[in-house]
Amino acid sequence: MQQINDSTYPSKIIGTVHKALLSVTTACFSFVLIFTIIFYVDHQTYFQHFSTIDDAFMTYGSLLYYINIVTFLIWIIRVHQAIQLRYSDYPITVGGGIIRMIPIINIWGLGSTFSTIGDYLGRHSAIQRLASHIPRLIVPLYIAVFGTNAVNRILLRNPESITSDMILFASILDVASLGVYLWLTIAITKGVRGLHANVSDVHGEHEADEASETHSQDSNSDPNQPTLNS
Amino acid sequence: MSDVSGQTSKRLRLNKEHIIIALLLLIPLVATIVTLAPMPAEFTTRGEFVHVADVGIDGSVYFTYVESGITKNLYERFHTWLFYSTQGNPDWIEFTPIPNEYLELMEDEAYMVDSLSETVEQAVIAVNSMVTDQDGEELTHADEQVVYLLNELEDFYGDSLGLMIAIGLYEEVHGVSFASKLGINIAGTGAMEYGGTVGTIGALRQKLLGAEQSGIDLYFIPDDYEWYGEFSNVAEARQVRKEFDLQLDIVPVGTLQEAIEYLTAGSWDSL
Repeated sequence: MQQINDSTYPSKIIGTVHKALLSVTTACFSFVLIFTIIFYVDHQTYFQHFSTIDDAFMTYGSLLYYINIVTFLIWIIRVHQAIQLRYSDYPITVGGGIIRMIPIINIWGLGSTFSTIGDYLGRHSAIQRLASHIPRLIVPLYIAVFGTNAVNRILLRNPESITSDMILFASILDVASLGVYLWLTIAITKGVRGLHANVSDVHGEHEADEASETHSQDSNSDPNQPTLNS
Repeated sequence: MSDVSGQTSKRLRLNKEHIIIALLLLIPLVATIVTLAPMPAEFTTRGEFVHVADVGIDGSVYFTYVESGITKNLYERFHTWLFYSTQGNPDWIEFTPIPNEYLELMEDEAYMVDSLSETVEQAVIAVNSMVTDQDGEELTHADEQVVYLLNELEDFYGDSLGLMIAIGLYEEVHGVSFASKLGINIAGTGAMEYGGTVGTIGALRQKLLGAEQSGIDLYFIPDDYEWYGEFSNVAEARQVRKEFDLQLDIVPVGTLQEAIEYLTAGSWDSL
């Protein structure tokens, strides 16, 4: 027997932790963006009043960012596991989830991950509307994430040619990529919670299979209603 | 659970998630505080070499410069290291902790600019005093020469280039080229002071290491052991030579005259 309910699905704890850390990280980089705008507008005012506090937010935010990479990887794997508990035909395994996040492979992997998650969450009628946001965020995610990587590489390779415009642009991209990740995290954690809310699977995966088959055969049926074997 | 008035009271529950979140927020906060705590240090990069011809002197020698500055905390130290390491070898920058009371003086750019103009002026005066009617052209327009040189040297600070500027000026006035004559690369460091004496300088370690790596054969340093003993440039050069097994000739000189005599004779006392 396997009980799946709101308190036991795999990504619950890590989802809460990751969302909280990502929120604080996004807030830090938002402050950094504000200070960058001040720097862009008036160098003197920035150096007189804001450079130290900017350093503090940048340092704290950067350290949190690296912690977020770890929590994100753990969380996304647990999301795959949580969805797989509900839909046995879910295609992404733990290994597949990790491979999709490897640099270079993640050019394909990010889109594959979030489109698959969005697709399977969208099969649950109660969270269909929420799940529809996920695929729509993939393009902004790619622009923000890979744009940030490209700009940071350019800045690192040619530090002597850094301009205020480039610094401001990089800061905007940082906040944009974190914002998209945060939006995705909120949508997916809500979706997974909704997927497992009040679902009691007396007979394990077989029930989930029947429920998904029932859903696909009859679009008017409600997959939230568990079916019992006689 | 009810209190005396019968109202239900709530108990604050700390979930596992809250504890994990608090810890993961606290650890980088502590790291941030440590990183931004005042910890001033002076940094210097490996010595680089400028031919005196690049600053408008018709000579054959090189003067040495290092890039240096102050970092106020570990955050600035890391970013400085990152900046220079992306431009070359990350081992080419050294950080030396400094007391807080020296911080203001070392940040004083006016002090550095004044010492540059002083050393250039003394270099011109020293060379001028060595010129006779029979030897060649006199530096009769010494003030103009100083202004011209300070303009050419506007990207540099400090006084340590004075000795080599003076040697280059001597070559220009006398129409000689010591490097060509001896077939070697000649560089050095030393402040030109009153009476043509060569004064103590800083960052000698990085300058010597740069000289060794750049293929310099003969390197002049101030002969200051008599005044500063184990804290002198001479003692420092001995220590660096031993530590890194330097092959170049390191020659202490007390005056411009002494350096010129070595170069004219083609022989010298190396450390």
